[in-house]
Amino acid sequence: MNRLQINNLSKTYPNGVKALNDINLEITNGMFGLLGANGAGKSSLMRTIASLQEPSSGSIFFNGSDIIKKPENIRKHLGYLPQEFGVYRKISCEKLLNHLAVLKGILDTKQRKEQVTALLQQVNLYQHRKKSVHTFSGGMRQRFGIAQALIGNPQVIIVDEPTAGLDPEESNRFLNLLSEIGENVIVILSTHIVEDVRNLCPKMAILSNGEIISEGNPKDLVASIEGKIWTKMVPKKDIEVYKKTFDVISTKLVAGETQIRALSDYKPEDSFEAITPNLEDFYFAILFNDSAIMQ
Amino acid sequence: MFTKLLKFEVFYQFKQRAFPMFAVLFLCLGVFVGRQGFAPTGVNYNSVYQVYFHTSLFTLGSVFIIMFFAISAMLRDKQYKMESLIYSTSIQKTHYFWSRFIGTFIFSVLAFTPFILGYILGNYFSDLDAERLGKFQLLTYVQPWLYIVAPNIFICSAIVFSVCTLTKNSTATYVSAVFVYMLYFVSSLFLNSPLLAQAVPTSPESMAIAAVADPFGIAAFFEQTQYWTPFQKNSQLLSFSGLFLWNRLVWIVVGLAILFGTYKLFSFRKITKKVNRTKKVKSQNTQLTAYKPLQTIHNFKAQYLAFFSLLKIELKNMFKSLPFIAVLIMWVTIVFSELYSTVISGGEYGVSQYPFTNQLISLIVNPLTLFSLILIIFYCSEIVWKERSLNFNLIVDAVPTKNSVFFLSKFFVILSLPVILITSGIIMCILFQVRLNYTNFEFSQYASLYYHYGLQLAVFSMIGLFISSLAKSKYLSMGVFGLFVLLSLKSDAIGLEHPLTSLGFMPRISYTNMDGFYGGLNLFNHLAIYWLSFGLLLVFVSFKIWNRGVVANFSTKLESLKSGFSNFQKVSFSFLIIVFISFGSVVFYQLNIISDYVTTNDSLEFREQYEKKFKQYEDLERPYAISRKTEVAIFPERRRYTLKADYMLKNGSDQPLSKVFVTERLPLETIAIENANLVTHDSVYGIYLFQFKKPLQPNDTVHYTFQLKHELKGYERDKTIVNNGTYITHRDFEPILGYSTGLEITDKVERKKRNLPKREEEIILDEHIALEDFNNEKINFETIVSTSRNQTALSSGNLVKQWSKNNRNYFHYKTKNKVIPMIAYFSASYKAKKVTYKGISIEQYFDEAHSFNIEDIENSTKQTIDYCEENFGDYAFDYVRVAEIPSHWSFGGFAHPGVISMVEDRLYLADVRNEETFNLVAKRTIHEVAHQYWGHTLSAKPVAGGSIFVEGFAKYTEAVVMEKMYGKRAVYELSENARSRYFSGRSFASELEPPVYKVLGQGYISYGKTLNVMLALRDLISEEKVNHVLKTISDKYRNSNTLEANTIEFLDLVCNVTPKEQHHLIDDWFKKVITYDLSIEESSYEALENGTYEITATIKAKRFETIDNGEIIEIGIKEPIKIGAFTTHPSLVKEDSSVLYYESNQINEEITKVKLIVNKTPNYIAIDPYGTRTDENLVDNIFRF
Repeated sequence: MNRLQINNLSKTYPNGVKALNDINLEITNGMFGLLGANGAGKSSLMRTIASLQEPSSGSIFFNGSDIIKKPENIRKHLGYLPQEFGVYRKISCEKLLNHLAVLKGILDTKQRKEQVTALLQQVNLYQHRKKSVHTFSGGMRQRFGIAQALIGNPQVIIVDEPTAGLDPEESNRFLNLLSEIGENVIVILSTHIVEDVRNLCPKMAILSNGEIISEGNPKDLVASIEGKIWTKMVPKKDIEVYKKTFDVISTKLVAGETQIRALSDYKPEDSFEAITPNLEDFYFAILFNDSAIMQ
Repeated sequence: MFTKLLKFEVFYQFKQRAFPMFAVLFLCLGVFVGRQGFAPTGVNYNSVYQVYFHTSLFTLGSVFIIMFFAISAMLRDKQYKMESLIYSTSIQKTHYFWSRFIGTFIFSVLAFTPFILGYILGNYFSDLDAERLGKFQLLTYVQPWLYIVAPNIFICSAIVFSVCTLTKNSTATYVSAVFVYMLYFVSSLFLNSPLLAQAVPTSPESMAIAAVADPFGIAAFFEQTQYWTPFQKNSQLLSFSGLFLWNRLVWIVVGLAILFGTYKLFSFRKITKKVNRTKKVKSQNTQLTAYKPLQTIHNFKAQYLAFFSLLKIELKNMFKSLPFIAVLIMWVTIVFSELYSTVISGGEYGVSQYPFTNQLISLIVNPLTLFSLILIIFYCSEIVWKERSLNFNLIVDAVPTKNSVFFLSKFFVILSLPVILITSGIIMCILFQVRLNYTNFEFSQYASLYYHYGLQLAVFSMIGLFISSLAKSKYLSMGVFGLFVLLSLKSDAIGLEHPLTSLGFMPRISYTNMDGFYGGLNLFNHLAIYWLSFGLLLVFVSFKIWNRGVVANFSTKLESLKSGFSNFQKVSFSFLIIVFISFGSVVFYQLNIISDYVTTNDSLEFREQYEKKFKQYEDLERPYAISRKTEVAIFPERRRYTLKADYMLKNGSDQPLSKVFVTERLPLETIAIENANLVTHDSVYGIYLFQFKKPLQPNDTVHYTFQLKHELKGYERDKTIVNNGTYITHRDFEPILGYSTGLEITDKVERKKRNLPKREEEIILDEHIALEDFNNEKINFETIVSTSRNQTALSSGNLVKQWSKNNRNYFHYKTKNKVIPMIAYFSASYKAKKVTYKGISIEQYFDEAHSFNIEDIENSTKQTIDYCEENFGDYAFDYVRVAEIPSHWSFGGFAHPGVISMVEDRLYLADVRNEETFNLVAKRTIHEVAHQYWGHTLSAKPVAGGSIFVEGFAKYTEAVVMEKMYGKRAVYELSENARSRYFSGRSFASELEPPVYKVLGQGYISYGKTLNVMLALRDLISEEKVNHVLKTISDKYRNSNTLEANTIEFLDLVCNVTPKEQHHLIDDWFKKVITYDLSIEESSYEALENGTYEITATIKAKRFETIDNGEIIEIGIKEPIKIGAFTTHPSLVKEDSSVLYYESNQINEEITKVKLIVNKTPNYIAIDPYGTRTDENLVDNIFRF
């Protein structure tokens, strides 16, 4: 069982922005979902775990060893897919994977070739393996990124928005693969798609302004707002009024009409209907609460 | 719409931080250049010529600005992914395209113009010598702006902007800028422009091509002004005509054409990348391989494999990157043309040298350093920042590969840059050698390039790596490092001239074929270790602060530097520091303690004090030696010689002499003058003051003895005493018997700063030439010179005795008659060849490997002696010794009494096997042998005009003997060379050009114009009469001990044998400064019935006189000039049979029509084809039917 322990982790950038603020987490094998708005600190946290950025304070232990002092102890077991990345020009996809495999420590040529081939097939790039990654479209490049993150025998896989730019089919394939692998290793996944987290991750955390505002099993978390989410279809012009009157956590267009969802311990108004909350509702609710506290 | 777009463009570009940066940068550059006071002597700092010169050179820098603005104009949409938005608006293509171009152009001009403003400020607000600043004239600065700045920026903008628009690629834009430079470099290669060292004068034809081809118009500017005298440079504006006009027109039209072409091609649709044809992928291997995790290994082998994988990727990337390819192509082109022009197409007089490895190497080392530095500056930051700028760092930095492996792979790639250039240079050299059937490759010398030049570049790479890893961004590090490199090249300007503080400084090690590596080898070795350890320390630090992932800030880097030292790191770090300090101390000890380290300022101080303290002795009458006996012991392998001198001094003046002031050249051990007491001795300034016990009466003599020991200490270098090829002349050691004006500071500004009075300029009057006494006469000379066992020592005089003792060879030389006191001592392991010819022993001493031209030397010596004995009287000695000296001497040859020193590369290594090439070996030999007459038999009074007797007559003898040996073509080469030397010399002359008879040290007259006028004189009065005059005057002074012959006497003799009505021509040629413009305007011929041909030709003839203030005015013409008709080009005439007609014709008008009858079909008609008149343009003198 792998164990990643994050204690009091903070990161302040030179311009004063607090990207991470006293983060404490313990992550073990299995998929761990990270949710959060843009700029919440997801990428900063992931980069710090991947030893690509030094925290201002705090510590991270991987299987007992301090990886801030000895980053090689995580690098040896790491597969990392950054949110955005570029590649060298004029080098084919296959060669680049091969190069990365060498860097990751797969020394046997034959084994290396086998794994690279397997990965290329896995991410559906096998027929494009001779092309330069530089010329790939966004989705193809993302798949290349996934492939490289899986090279070797990673014990910690950190994937930052892995499904961005993928079509639904590819996205499914990849998530299935991840959850398969995730049974025996740690997978940290950040995403915008809240449902993915619910479907895949036994554990998750929500980041906001560099702080963890919620952590736990998605089902438990959703259960915590059971019976507190109410919905109503309203005309567009009235939305502002509703927002002022009730704790509207989200609005959504459903078949051309606006559906609002409100958080309340009791039925806010007759016209509202109770609804079984999903993870998205929990996410919005917790963000709503968080910002309410901030104000 | 258009104006709105333009307004936005202006607004946008103004907002770019780069605009004020560029403007300030060029303003500073302007001030810097304007105030540095760098102008050819005689030319004002603010002359039109200077402003053009600097402005046009610096417009080369405008390409960077243009590149920036073009990229920001045309690529910003792409960069910020605005293309689709912009292109889908209703904006018109015309408006879009032209507004952006005009924006680019205007801002480039605006950013460059401050250069001229700065130049003006620099001119007028600095401590430049006020005498060399002309009146301020606005036009001086406006004209270059109009003719050079604006057009150049337009042309470059058009090219760069078009490339940028069409490719939408910043690298391609960069390459197009490099391409523009290439055009300039290639044309300046042709033109021998001052930016590139190349000593081969070009033909007017290739010059015309280059003048038009250079997009910057610099070549055209040089073409127009190449022969301008300082007066013209100061006063004349550039004329917008001729090739200059053509150049501007052609390039503006080219620029417009490119722009319109681009406009046509440019389309609003996004450039879709060419779809790469997908490589056929074999479909057989499609069975699915399942993904299984694979155990990774992190042992040493893993790191080792990772290193090579990284190295491979980095190198591949570099080889495929355009800037690298561009620089490599440029490098190969330059190396090729340097090699080609020297060893195949010929150097001076079109004569190539044998491709000895050291010769070839010396040709490529200058561009090597330049190009390597360009690559290092660019790629250091490029390579260090590669992953970051590609945004690949987050992936690659998360792998378990060690920092050291990443670091080393990058370090290796940077180091490989100079290695690649050196290796490719070596390969080219070897190819040339193979092509020329030269097989002695001397690989050790090639290998030495890596050490002597590569190491310094490696140190610069290390510095670059350090700066790149410290800097916050890629371009910042590029800029900072570039600045460092520039500063290190100019370290004396910022007071860091000491080798230990001049960043990365290592002395150039020269190699001569005769002597091997010469000079500074120890200093080099020590500095090499010093700077290498410095570089490695920086590398060490760069490694420690190497960070992965996100760029760390400075404090984090400092933190990581301080922490985590492993034992190995501690040991190696301390070791490097110890090496650095100890070799620094060694260098310091040797330079500053063993020898006196003299800074420029120290030496100025010394000279100032010398002048202030001892100027009082300047007017003291000087005695001079009338006999000299020396004992010289040369120890070549110990780089040492000792000398004992015993001279007789004579008071040649008509006043009793009571004091003698002596300035030593080398420190003396003893010095004594008979009957005189040493009253003052100052060892700091090396001066002695003797007081005679009884004043020395006129014509009385006394003994004078001195002794010295010259030994090189520390890193001292002295080319006189070397392992093989020692060459010591009396000027190297002999104390000066008086105050030496040569030690005075000459720079006017420096003198003013130090409160020294202005130096007087001499005005030379005729009386001065005729009457002035000069203190010197011929001497009796005797020497015993000894050297080590394997070497031969030579000097002037007959060899009286030769013996060996204590493993040393002794030679006793003694002159039979009195000789001119220009004595030299030689020592080397010589091979000797002696023949006796007409009672004269012709002795050659040369390096064993250099025997190619020995026959030619011997033969031309014989021919010269034949001609001279027949025409000018007996040869003065019964021997002529020709001795080889190493090529670190930069002259062609030097004639001592009976002994001639000849430089290895100029004579012995010249390849004259081809009958068609000009025989440079014969030319040099004839010249020096002729000096045994002109200089040693006939010795001129060393005053104004004296060098006619020495150099002028020697050049004349050269021409007549060469004509006898090789036909008229040799005269063509010689007079052509003299002519161009004259015109380019006078264009850089520091003082007003004197007429020939008053020549005083102006090489362009004594080696140049004198030959032309002597040949004109020969045409006027015949060779026989000229020789008669020369014989008369040399007979008269042959046996006189004093030096008396002067030009007034010579011209009188000439007039005696010249018809009176032509005396005015003698005056014009010798006593005035007159130039000609002769040409055949038109010509045709027709066959006559009797089988002959009648040629009619229209001749244009103009004359110009340069009057006292330097102004050039046109004057009338009335003189006979040779006209010739030929079957071959006059420069190829070997036999008289190809000369159909060659007679003097009286020319009295600007336009003259002549008719001639010849017997064969003429191919050429020419006026003055053999250069007897000083005519800037010889090409139009010859007309081809």
